[in-house]
Amino acid sequence: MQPSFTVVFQPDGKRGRFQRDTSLLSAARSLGVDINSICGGAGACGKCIIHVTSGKISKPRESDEKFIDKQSLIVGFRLACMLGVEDDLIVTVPKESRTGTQRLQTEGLETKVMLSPLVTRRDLGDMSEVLYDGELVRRITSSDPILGFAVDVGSTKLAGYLMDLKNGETLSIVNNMNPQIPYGEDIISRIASAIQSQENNKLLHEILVEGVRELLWEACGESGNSLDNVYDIVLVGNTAMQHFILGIDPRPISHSPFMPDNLEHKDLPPKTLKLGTYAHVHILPLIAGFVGADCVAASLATGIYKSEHMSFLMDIGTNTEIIVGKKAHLVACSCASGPAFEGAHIKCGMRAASGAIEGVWIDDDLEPKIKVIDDIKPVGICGSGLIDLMSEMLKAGIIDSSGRFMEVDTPRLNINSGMIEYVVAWKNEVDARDDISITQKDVRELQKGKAAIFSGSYIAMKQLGLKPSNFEHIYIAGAFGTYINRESAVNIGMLPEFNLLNVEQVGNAAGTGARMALLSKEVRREAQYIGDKVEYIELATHPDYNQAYLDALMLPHRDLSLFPETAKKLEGMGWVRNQLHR
Amino acid sequence: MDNILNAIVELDEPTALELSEKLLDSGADPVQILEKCRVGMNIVGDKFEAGEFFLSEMIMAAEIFKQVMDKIRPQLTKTFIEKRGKIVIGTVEGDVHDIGKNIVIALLEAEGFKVIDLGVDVQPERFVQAIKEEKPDIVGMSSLLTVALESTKKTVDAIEEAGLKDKVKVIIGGGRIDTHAAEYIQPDAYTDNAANGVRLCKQLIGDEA
Repeated sequence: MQPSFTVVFQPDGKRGRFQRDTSLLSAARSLGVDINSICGGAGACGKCIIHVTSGKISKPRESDEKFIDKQSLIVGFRLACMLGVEDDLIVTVPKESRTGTQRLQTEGLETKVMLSPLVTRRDLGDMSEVLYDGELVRRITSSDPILGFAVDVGSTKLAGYLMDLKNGETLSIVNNMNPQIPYGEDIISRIASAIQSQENNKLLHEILVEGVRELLWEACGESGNSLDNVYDIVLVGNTAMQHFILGIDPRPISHSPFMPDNLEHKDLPPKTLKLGTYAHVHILPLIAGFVGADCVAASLATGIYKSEHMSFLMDIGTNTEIIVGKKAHLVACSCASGPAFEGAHIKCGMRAASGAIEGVWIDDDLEPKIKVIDDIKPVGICGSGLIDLMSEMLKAGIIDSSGRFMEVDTPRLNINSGMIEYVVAWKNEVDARDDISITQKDVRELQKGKAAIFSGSYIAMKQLGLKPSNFEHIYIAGAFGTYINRESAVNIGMLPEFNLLNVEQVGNAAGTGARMALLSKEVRREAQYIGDKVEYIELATHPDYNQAYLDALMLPHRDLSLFPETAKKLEGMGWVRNQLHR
Repeated sequence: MDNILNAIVELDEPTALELSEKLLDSGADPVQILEKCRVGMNIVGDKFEAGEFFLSEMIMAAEIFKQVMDKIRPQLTKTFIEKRGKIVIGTVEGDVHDIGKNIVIALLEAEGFKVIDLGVDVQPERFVQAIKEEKPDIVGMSSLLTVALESTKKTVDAIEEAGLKDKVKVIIGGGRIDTHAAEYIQPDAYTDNAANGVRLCKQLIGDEA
């Protein structure tokens, strides 16, 4: 047998095993990784340039040299169509070599805020003085703008907002993938790498700061502004990202009880991170553990910390943060929901990019209808599609309440290398090597993810003696949270059985909160207040957690009294298997 | 006798308990009852491995088996219980996940191992001390967090430093344990799968059955 090697394509994170000499272009295509190619793989168009960041590759060919400069060849840039696999590889597909674009969430709530930026201008005839917190920064001409930049540093993507500090207008919104992704798909593996050596930690710090710098540069370029007119930057991120931005040792957050050494907000002078000649950097405070500044920012955006109404805020991602309560008392926790909803560890999973199946309906004949991002041939399934699939398979009786595939009569059920799967799109309908399907193992991964989210929600609600029906406002934040079908999410028991009319999908609330903090000193004070005041629940060591998690593995839940409406609906469909009693 | 096997596989707790009492009352050989339960647990383990059963089913099966064991145990001789071998097991320092570890324990007990559970967040010194005191055949380290690999390595090093490496076999297991982890930690065996872990434990004590 031919030897085979693992190839990982970043930033999508798609991976597969390929036989020796398979071209990187065909490997990418078979996994549904988006790489541009006009000549069809003849080495003639130079569109399919990729960057091999790890693994052994052959010397450059003539066609490589035609399109790629010497320096880039040395660091591993090659034409994907001309390069054969001969080692385990990690490959980055640069933005230019991609055709479609990854859907990144940059829109968020528009929450009004009273303008009171730290940066002010004192007019002196045709000159002006720029003051930061009352201190002179520089003199400018009266026509020069004073700008600020708000950044949400996510583990997957960076979102930046260039703002005019005089009137609070957003001048440009830019986003990019987190440049750390090639060094670990999830934050836990990046933390592990940072702990292994100081060099790794330094590298992760530097590439992240460089990523923010590029983002700022792009935002300025796009709106025709000079970097020198940016005086204030507000950064928010999850706990791990804040450690990386500051370049501090992430050891304290790597193990139980996951408590950072320092939760305070940070003010850094321009020379510390060198994000611009004159730009001060403000980093919002953390709450605790993995409830980071992004969560504080989302609280700012939704106003739950000053609301009289009982609210529930959830930011869904690899880590899902939850804040529950109202003005007087808020509790927060962080659930290890894992990367399954971003498509990782799922056979045909992918992030929400062009070609991802984002919605699924299954009819009475057990045939699926699908909705694909950008209406092209499907290449994989993203998180919202996976949740729809779980819900629809449950409703149709393809899986039972334990998540097990049932023996139902449909050609869509297949046994593939010993594993049962439901085919969502046949090979001839897709832009991938094989059928697009969801396997028994995929269902299990998703069950674990949704159980982590539900059990965190459950324990947070229990702490305050609340039921899902008590909440007047439910905010679902985050890119993934924006696109999920709420009803499907409740059907599988990922979300508690809220009154769905009270659910608002608020997009990048962290980005909105960061913008608010950029525009107002008072908001920054409120952020510190949130950081100090919210009560943190550590789930990993919580005595009720294990049982809550195990109970939440079932669809929608072992205890159907927590899902009365859903149970009624599912029972009406006649498919809920007798509940297992302990 | 086969009914008790089926009751376990079907996760029917009342029937399994009722049958075990009936069988004991009627003078059935406790070793044979136990054997049937073991076969049942093996089937449950296989179903778990194939993805047909999930964590909650696995834990229920373990619970049922434990209760049946509690009824049978007084009737078994001590030498019989410890026939298979002895294992000290725990979740390593800095990690508190124990669902996987508990599943392994249930399967090991079903296979006749005597299991000493050190719990979660177990420091290397406690592993070393337990090895000295209990003189087990195998020491098992469980973890889920990637960063717990460091603690696992530390524990293995501590065992070596204490001069116990030749006295005990080391197995590591958990969701993030792969070839790379094994190359780094150098255990006698490793797995990311409970049912396979039990097979490996049997091999480690030279029992291929």
